[in-house]
Amino acid sequence: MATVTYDNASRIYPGSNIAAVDSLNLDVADGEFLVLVGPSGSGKSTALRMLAGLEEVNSGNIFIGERNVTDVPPKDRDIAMVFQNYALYPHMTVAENMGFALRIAGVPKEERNQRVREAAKMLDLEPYLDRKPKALSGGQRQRVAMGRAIVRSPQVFLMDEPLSNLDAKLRVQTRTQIASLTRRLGVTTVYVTHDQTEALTMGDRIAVLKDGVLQQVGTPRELYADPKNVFVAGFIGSPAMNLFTADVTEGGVKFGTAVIPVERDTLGSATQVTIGVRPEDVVVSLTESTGLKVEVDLVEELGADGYLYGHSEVDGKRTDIVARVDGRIHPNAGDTVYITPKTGHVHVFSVETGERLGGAVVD
Amino acid sequence: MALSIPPTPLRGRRARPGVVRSVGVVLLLVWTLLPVLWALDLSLQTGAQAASKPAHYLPPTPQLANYARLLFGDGDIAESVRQSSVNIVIECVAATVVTVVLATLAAYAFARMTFRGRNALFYLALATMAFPAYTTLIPLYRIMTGLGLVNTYTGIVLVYVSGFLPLATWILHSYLSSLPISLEEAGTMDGANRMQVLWHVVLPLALPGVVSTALITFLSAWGQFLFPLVLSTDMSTEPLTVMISSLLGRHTVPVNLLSAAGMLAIAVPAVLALFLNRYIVNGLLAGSVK
Repeated sequence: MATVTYDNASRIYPGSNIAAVDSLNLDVADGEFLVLVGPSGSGKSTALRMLAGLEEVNSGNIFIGERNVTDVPPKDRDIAMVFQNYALYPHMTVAENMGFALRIAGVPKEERNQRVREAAKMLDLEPYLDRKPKALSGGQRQRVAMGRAIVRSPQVFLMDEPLSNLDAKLRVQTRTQIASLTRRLGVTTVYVTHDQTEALTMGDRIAVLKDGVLQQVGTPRELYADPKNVFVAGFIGSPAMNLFTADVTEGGVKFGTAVIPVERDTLGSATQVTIGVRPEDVVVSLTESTGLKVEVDLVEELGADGYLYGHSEVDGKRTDIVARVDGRIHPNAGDTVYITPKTGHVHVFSVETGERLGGAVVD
Repeated sequence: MALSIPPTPLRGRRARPGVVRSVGVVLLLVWTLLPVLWALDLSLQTGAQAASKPAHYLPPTPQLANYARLLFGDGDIAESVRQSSVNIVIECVAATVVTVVLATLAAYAFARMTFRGRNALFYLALATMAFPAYTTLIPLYRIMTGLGLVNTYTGIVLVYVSGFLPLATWILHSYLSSLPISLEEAGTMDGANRMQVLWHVVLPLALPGVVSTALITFLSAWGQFLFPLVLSTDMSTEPLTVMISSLLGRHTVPVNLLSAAGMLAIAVPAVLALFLNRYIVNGLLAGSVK
């Protein structure tokens, strides 16, 4: 068990002058499950591979516990990694795959078999120990990759999008299995994904990256309720938050024909701000009222809930709007509705910097 | 809905190219195999039968006496054939082993390690394949004389290795490059060092490529003539191929015995090629289709 610390760690790929990971500062607590999330090209995998030692650190340092591992070769870092494509050794059986690290470490055969069996039991892999990877299903392969990491009892688990090759249903199941397993083992885990739902459901804390720069670190709740900037606001949450530019007016910010009260201190001298409202934080009215006038394009029914997709004219520009509606009673495509945000559920961001203005939304 | 598929006159159309192709194949086979079959035919005849005119197109009384004489009999020729067979096997096996070991290490380094001048070095090594080997014959002979390695197994094997290493490295390089790198990374994460990764992870996966390379190297070594002709000066190192050709110069050697010796020289590569041809094709195609 150990903490992990990125101290101003940067990675610049040869032949490029833009940092893939730019001065990353991040502390992962002992036993914590930290998720690195971001769109493709955000540097999340690079950051993970830097911790693994598979990618060079061009400046800054990385610590595991008290130990500076920046220049330590991967094999001596005592970390286990689950790869996106699992990277199981195709010529070895499941048992050999899981026991390979112990074999290299010179662990006696008896103990090795014992530990492989224990891990296999935890992962329901016992019946498959003598099979080769090609004779396993995708989900089983994924579990073998997990097993290979667990058997080692490493200081840190690294997982690089381990669920992306599973089908949707299995992904949801495995998600909870991995989260509960790593917590039971109490091993510090750094987990990379591009899927914000995975991040929200699995992480103790989430670090959001964009273009190699850390945007925000926090618990799922913090990121959801108090996104530090427009990027995090738009990235976390599905469907994404409605974000558009609005004029500052007497007593607040214009939202269609309505005025949302925002304190003058929050707004400063800005004449325009970006406001964000989550789809579940709007009130939809079919009768003409104050608020934003929205033409309904489509309503997606998801059983209990539904999502209304529409568009509106904001500031002379067509703006797409998503709102959560009741799954059974809802407007239909072609209708005109009027939406207003629920009180205290508006996020305000600076137009120039994209940074948050004011505090978190209340729940 | 049932679709009625109009009958296509495939048979009539395909017949013509089929005939042309068959004729072509037969001509090609005759062209390449006739000398071999002729030698096989002669090797199964007695001396009198082999000398008769007109020649026998099939052995009248097939017998293995010539082979028996070469392999187990007494006499100068039989002993030379046996000694040179031992020589060729030692030289080819040693050259193959050394070449494959060195080529594997070199190919792995070129494929996976980053160091200054890597590509330049790799292409320089490959470029040597473009030179006609004979241009190096005299300098090599001088070097071998200087080192006291003329007419030794070591000398011949060294020359073979230097000649076959570029091709072998190239084949293995394209093979190793095609293996997924994440497996090697997984090995590293599991605590293995470079050599352990190579041994436990890469080589088992690259085995077909290694077998191909070994085969191609072995067959090329077996077919060598000019270099051993120059570098072996007596029976102690002369390979079978050179020895057989030297028999031609001696008037006393019966043609049926000579044919049997030739068949012995062909047997090993023929058997290898017959049973392992998929590896040969695999090796020569490595990296070309991917």
